Amino acid sequence: MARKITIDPITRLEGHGKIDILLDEQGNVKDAYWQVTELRGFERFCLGRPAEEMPRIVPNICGVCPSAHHMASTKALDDLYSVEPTPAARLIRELEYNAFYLEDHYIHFFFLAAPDFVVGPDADPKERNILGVIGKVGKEIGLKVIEVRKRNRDIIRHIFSKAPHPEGGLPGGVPRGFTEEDRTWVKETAYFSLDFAQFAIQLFKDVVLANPSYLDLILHDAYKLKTYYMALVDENDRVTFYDGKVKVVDPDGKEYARFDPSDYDQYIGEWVEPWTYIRLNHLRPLGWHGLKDGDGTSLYRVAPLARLNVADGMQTPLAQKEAEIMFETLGGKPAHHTLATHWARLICALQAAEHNVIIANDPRLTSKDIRNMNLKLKNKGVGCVEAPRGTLFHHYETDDRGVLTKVNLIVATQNNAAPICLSVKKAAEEFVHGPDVKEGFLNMVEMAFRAYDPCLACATHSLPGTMPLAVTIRDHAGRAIREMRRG
Amino acid sequence: MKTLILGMGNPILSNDGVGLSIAKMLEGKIPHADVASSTMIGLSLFDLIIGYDILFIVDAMTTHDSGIGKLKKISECDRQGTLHLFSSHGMDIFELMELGSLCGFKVPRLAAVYGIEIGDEVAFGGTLSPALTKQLPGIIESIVTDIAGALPSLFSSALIH
Repeated sequence: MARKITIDPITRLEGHGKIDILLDEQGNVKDAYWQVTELRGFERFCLGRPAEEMPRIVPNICGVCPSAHHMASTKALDDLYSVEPTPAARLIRELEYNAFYLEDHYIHFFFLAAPDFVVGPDADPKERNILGVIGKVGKEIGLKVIEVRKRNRDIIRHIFSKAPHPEGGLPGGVPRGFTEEDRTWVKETAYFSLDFAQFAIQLFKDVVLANPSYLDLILHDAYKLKTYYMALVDENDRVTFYDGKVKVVDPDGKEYARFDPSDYDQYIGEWVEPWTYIRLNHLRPLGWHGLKDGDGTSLYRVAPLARLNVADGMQTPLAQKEAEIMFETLGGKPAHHTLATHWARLICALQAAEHNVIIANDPRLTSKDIRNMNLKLKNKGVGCVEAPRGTLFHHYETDDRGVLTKVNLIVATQNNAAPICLSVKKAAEEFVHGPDVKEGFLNMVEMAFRAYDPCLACATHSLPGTMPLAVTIRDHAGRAIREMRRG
Repeated sequence: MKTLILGMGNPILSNDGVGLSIAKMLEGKIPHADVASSTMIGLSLFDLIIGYDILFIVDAMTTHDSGIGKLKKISECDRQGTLHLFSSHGMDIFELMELGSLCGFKVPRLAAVYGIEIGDEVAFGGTLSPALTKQLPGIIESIVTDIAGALPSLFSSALIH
């Protein structure tokens, strides 16, 4: 008799989704689905609006990565109006985007990932949160996270008027630059962030890597998935967050494709399944081969580990050194260990911090030439950035008045959706046997998708009242045979 | 004593943004109280609320047991509340306040949450539904009266403590 275990809603990710784990008669995992039950419909909402409104609208898609949508949208406007930002404007945008990366990556690591590793994957759920992390490693950590976040938000607010929902994106430039007086506090923030970035890496080594059981978990086959990888790279084939070409490597690490973001639709296919609202991306030239990894797969992954797998290296020296240590520990490149995404995330944050030190000392930072007004509407624009969760595309088409007639967004979580399903299944196969599952094991299954830092929401929504984790075990006829609830 | 009235919601999800609309209309209506709004949840609220003594929240609510626009005051907010007090991607407001206290920040007392029933009305849109808009004056009057009436005793109890 087949049974079904449902974990709904998933904890510690944005939006509405649930995991269904189907058991066979022996109580072993037969199949697992990560389902998205929320319909977005955001693209339709934007039609008929002036394109230049998009950088003000899209940060409200959700409360998690507003700056990524804002920047992708602003870059889509650059393309739509055939305009290159001035060198100073580009520098200022990169400063802002790195500041956002620092804020985002550290919130993810300390608030979402660290509870699993620092407090422990099978610890009491009441303790497995940021307060538990602070209880283990001291309140100084909490103070540092709050401070680094606050300082970097000041950069976002200065340039784009609001943090965390920036709204000043303009084609060809930025709305506000910096003075030499401003440079003083920008430099202080940059150096403070660099110190923190190094501290965070060291903490990861001391607390996670130094614990053999945690390292075993990262290296465990249950958290390994052989897929293609996609990310932006710069002209030197290094990891970049703001701009570049899209590069794809195969499961062996060989280059499969390299293309301009505006050609994304030639390479990315969007597959629809009846059991989820999210479209399942795959490599279009290979066709949809279903939810499978390894030989014959057409699935690719994005996000921090993908960035490091795809690029030849990091842009900055300290991040490069840490990336080399990571790949050496993981047994080479590409690394298919999903949980190593957390490690890669900290390395990406380190690059962002190092880069902002360079920008803070760049003479061009205080240039007054921050807007190129040579705008020529061409009716189609594509903007692409590495969102913290992976490659993000905004594609706009307009009529001759600049009013939107088509909007297509490919968000990072959509790129990762099919691999997330596979990761959940693999982890469930390893850790769930029968209906008598322990909470710690269920959390290990959740860890499989949490590593991707998925974001499902088109709104800052959550459930009213408590935030429960409801686990329902059903027989083949859909009858609930056991229910568990936490939160 | 510093008091903050915080409206919460998403401005592009129609009735979901009712807390933001009300916050805008409450500005200047209650003496000695600041008014702010936030489209964010979790840690993003930190900068807004730290340093205040008393906090009131106005937010959308979905209970399905009353009509659209029904105002509900929740005075004992321990782990219960409205739509945007909770985050599945970070921390809820209760953890946030605990974190603030733990780290030595001045964290306000959450005096009350005013929830406005919106049912499942979260379609995309930059304005509130006509049905909810019609009820705003009454909702605002109730909130103003309630907060203005509560503040003196909250001030004295804070002074005693």
